[in-house]
Amino acid sequence: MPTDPQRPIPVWRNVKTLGIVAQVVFVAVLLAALAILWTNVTSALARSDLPANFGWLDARAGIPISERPIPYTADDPYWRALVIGFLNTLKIALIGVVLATLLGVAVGVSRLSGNWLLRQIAGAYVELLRNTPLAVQIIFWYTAAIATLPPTISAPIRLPGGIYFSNKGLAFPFLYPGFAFQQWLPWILAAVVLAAVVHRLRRRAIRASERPGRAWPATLAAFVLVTGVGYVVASAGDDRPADLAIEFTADRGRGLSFLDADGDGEHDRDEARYGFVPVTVRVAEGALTARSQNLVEQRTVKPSVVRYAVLEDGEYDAVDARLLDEDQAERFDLHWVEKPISALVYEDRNGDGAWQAGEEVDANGEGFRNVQTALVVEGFRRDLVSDRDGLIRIPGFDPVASLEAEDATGGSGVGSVGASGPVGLFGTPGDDDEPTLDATVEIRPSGALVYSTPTVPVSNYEGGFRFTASYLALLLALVIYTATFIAEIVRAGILAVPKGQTEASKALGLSGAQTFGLVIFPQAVRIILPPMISQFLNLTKNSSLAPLAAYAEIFAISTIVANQTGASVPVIIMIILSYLVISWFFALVLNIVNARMAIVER
Amino acid sequence: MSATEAVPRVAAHAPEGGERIITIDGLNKWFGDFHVLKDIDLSVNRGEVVVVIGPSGSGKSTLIRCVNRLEEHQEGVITVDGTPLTDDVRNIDLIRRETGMVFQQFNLFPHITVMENITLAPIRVRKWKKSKAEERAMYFLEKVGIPEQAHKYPGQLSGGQQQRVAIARALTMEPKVMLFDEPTSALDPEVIGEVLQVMVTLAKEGMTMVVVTHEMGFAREVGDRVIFMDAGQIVEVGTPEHFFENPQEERTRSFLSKIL
Amino acid sequence: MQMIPSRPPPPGERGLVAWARRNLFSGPVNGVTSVVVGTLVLLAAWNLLGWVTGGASWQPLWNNLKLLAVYRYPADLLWRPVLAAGTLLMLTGLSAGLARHAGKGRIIGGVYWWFTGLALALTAIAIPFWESVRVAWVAASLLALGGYAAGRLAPGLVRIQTWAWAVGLPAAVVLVYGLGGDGPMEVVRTVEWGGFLLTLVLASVGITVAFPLGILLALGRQSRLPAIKGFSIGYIELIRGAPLITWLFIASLMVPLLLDVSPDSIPALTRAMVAVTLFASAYMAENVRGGLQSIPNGQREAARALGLSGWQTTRLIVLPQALRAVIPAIVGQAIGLFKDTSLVFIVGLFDFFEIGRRVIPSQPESLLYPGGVLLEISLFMAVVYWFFTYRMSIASRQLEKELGVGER
Ligand SMILES: Nc1ncnc2c1ncn2[C@@H]1O[C@H](COP(=O)(O)OP(=O)(O)O)[C@@H](O)[C@H]1O
Ligand SMILES: [Mg+2]
Repeated sequence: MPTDPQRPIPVWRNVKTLGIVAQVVFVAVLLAALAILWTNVTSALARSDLPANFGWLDARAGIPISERPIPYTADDPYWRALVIGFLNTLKIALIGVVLATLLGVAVGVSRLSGNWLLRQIAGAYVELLRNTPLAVQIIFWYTAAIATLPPTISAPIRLPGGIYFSNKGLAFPFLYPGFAFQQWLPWILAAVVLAAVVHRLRRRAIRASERPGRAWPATLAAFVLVTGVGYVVASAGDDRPADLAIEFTADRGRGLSFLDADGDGEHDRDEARYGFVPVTVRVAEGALTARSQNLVEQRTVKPSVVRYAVLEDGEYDAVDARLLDEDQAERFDLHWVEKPISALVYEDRNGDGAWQAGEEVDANGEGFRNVQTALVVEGFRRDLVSDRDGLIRIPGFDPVASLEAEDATGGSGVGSVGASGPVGLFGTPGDDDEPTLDATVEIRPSGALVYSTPTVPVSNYEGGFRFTASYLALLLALVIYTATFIAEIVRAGILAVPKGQTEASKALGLSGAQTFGLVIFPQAVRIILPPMISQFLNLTKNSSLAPLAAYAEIFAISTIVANQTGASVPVIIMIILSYLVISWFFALVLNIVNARMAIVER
Repeated sequence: MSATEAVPRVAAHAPEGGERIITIDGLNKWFGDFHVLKDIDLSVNRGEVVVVIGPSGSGKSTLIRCVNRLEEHQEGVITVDGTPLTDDVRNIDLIRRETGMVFQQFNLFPHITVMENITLAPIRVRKWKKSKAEERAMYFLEKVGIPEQAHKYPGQLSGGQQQRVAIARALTMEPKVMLFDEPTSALDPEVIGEVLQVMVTLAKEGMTMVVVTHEMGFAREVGDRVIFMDAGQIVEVGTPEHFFENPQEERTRSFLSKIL
Repeated sequence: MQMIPSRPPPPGERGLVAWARRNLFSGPVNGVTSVVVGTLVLLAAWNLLGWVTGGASWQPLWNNLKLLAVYRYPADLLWRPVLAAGTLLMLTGLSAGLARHAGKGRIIGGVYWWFTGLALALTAIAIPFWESVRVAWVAASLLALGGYAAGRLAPGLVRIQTWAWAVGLPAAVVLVYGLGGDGPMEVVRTVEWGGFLLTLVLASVGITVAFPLGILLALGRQSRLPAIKGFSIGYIELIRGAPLITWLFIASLMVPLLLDVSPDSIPALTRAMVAVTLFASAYMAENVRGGLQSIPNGQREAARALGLSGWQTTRLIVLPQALRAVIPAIVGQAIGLFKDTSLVFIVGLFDFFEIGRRVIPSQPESLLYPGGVLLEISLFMAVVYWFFTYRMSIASRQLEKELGVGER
């Protein structure tokens, strides 16, 4: 080390020690500041006596969450609510990333399209939506979904394939593990192994043939074949558990599939529920009751509407709607808007026996509310699948006999006693005098998978798979917003590939598709992917705007938890950690991608 | 200092009698495990022009960058104008003030004008008044032949002009030694001459110069000594004539045959 | 040899039909695309127009414009924010005018004209309602236009430009906040602030304070001293790891705890500003770092070789170049921050967004409309935000282009 032999260099002038001195000072100041803040926090916490540890995690949360990828009730502890929040963040992020990529790539490519119109529209889309706050977009879509889509119990939009769409969200058929699922698993495993082997062999064969070729069709075929054969073989036997039983309370339209360990046919507390059991429910004769009301739907008031639970064609032999109250029956008539789901109550003023516009409101333009009606259904049968928790629900039928009791007492309501009053319409289970509903439940066979279709028994969907309106609105906003950024990245990435590359490949005789697929795309991807991944991260972080759409992801749930428990410091630590984990994950992906993509350069 | 030496050390000392302005004794430097400079002994007298040649990667740049502490060395003693180059910030500043450097890539500051490029250091480091700095700057701009470019931005000048500005910028600090690191290598062939001409004039006016260059014409015209480096060590030292007429080492001959 | 005279191109190369054939119907796929897309767009536009002019209920929005603009800021003091806006426009105008005079500043000039027009048009809406605004509006217009004219005509003012900003900025703040007493300059506490005023305050304070902090953090991240470098990296990555809304939430809970004072003693605006500033500084640091990395090492070496100290090198050589290179990125960040201020609803502030989202829809008159009025309001807010951000994003792109070919 060269030093001046005569004099030692003062510490503050020595380049070697200067840095150390600076760092020591810096760290000292930093530590002092942190120490002050730390004592402040501890003393403030001590005074306010808010929890500063994680003990509350096991306490009952009491937070109702409608969006739950794993079983959860309000009785579950806080930690479980937080886990659900984290899973919900992943749920919206993963699907959002895929959709945003698809839309973004499409728009980005459109911006370079030869079609002038497409180019302009793609450009307008990007410029308009990229420069508007995401928060505004979220409330726009959320309001649009809630305000302009039909409420479920009215007439959901029914799309082909058993899909329902309404302001309660989107419900569609879904496959769940059936009785023989366990038997099928080894086949899937075998299929994966076989597919890997086939893939390798195909690759080797392609290399030996010295021609371009693709290995994945054969791989896919092998996988599909083995899983398919396995499915048929596994589903052949009857694998339903021996003690599987159904408990069904017809009057409430509710049932439960469970493992009846003691064989008494009733569900006891310690008996395990058994989900995804396909059943057929039959009701020989029952009545759906409803009162007329003024509904706000698609931002307008619809007066005098009567709505019954949704029955699909083929689920019943005959239906017949009637007015229950005698006075009301004299005054009003019913007009089907959509048989047998919704009807209008009207006053047949011109006596032509049919509804004319304006007859559903009185002279003041007010609708007729609280007109009591019933839909008598004969021969109802519905195939459904109990949910993950074994729950079975059908519309709340009343025994038709109870309607007659009602009729007999007259509709005056005065002096009607006990069960024969209007209360009786809604059934009082356990009352022996009460006429009961004639309903049966029968378990259907199932293979390795069961096909569960959504139904709309009361106010919300049952069965199938459901995305809530909150989820859809948030997803839509995130996708549309993020796609604008991805589109710009894609466009810039494609433009960044020098024109000479296209010219060179054209000169080599490659076709347009080959030029794009073999030359342009591989180069553009290298430019596009890294910024695109950071957009994925942005989308995930932006999902924290969920409270605006009433979606329960990690941040929304954390704020509720912090409010309820007062444990702000622990909750904050958990929020930060959750997002850091997500950020690190994306950073890891980015590093892997970068390492894979690096073009070898000198 | 390493005591065990397999090869004889070639010391490149200046002739006795002159005033030593740079002395380097037993200089060793490593980049990590890579030994770039090996046992360099070198001195330069006031007014001397030393030309350093050698293949790419032999450590020429590193050597002259050690002199003004752009690179830190690990062993050996460097003294510039009597000031030892130690870890003392004051010594480092003093030496940098007394040595001017011209880079291969010019390294003009693109965000300020030529005039501001030149006067920046005199005003901030030498604490001159602005008027004095500008006057000296004009003097040197005239000397390098481009006074009319004073108020342009570097990006508006040609390569040769930029390098001449860089020389003027270094000279305005009135250094005792000028270090040149391949000043003409990044230039188009037709402008090399104008830069070399400035350097020749400078040499003839008695400036002490250490020049890394492969322009052997320059070496022959004004060089007092030529040093040939290879693989981090000084291989051969001599007058320009010595190198042209009978270089001793095989490595020197092979190198010269490639560049001449 | 005879020169061949130029001839016009064969027919079908020019004109509207040819243009359409080339750009819209150049093949079957293209033709179908054009027809389908065109029909869809026309349909959508027609429906939207129909809804905006017919189905939508705009009345609650028009009746509550004051809330959207300033929330509970006293109506008889409205002249103060108007005058403050005039002051800021005057300063921008002065700088734009001076730059224009020097033959530069096309971009800042464009921005200045746009925002002057926008601000004067928007504040003009208030004139019929509040007497106090009328005089202030005229004064603000004169200030704004006068600033530009002065800069354009009196280039000598370039010497006082920095001073003008140094005096004008605090003056604008004082105008909005007040001085004290009961007179015209009585203090308007920040809980009364809201609406677009608050949005602007948050965004401008955030980006202004974050600027120096971001530079320090960026320099720290490039430092060779491990402690400083480590701290900077840790801070930047921690802040960037979690979204702004979480930091706002955290600040609203933690700032009183960290200072060990009662939660009521720190206004929500202060907490929001802390969060916004700390958040923006981390992103600012990354932007500046991009600029620092773009400066070749030779610049630093040349400066050191000339004898400049490390700090001088950074301040005089590296930073000016680095910052210039990242101006577009910083403008982009400012746009982002402006949009992100909409998240302060989480700390209970009533910024432009929150007024539109919660305050107006819960007014009694809004409740009369079935299904609420949020759809109309969110559309309106989107348009307002867009008018501000879009002009800035154009400026950012222009800067990028100009700097790309710049004086290097
Ligand atoms: N900062 C550095 N870190 C590591 N190695 C370096 C560095 N600078 C130069 N080198 C290596 O040191 C050797 C000498 O470099 P240099 O002095 O630039 O050679 P010359 O100027 O003779 O071409 C080269 O092999 C080069 O790769
Ligand atoms: Mg070199």
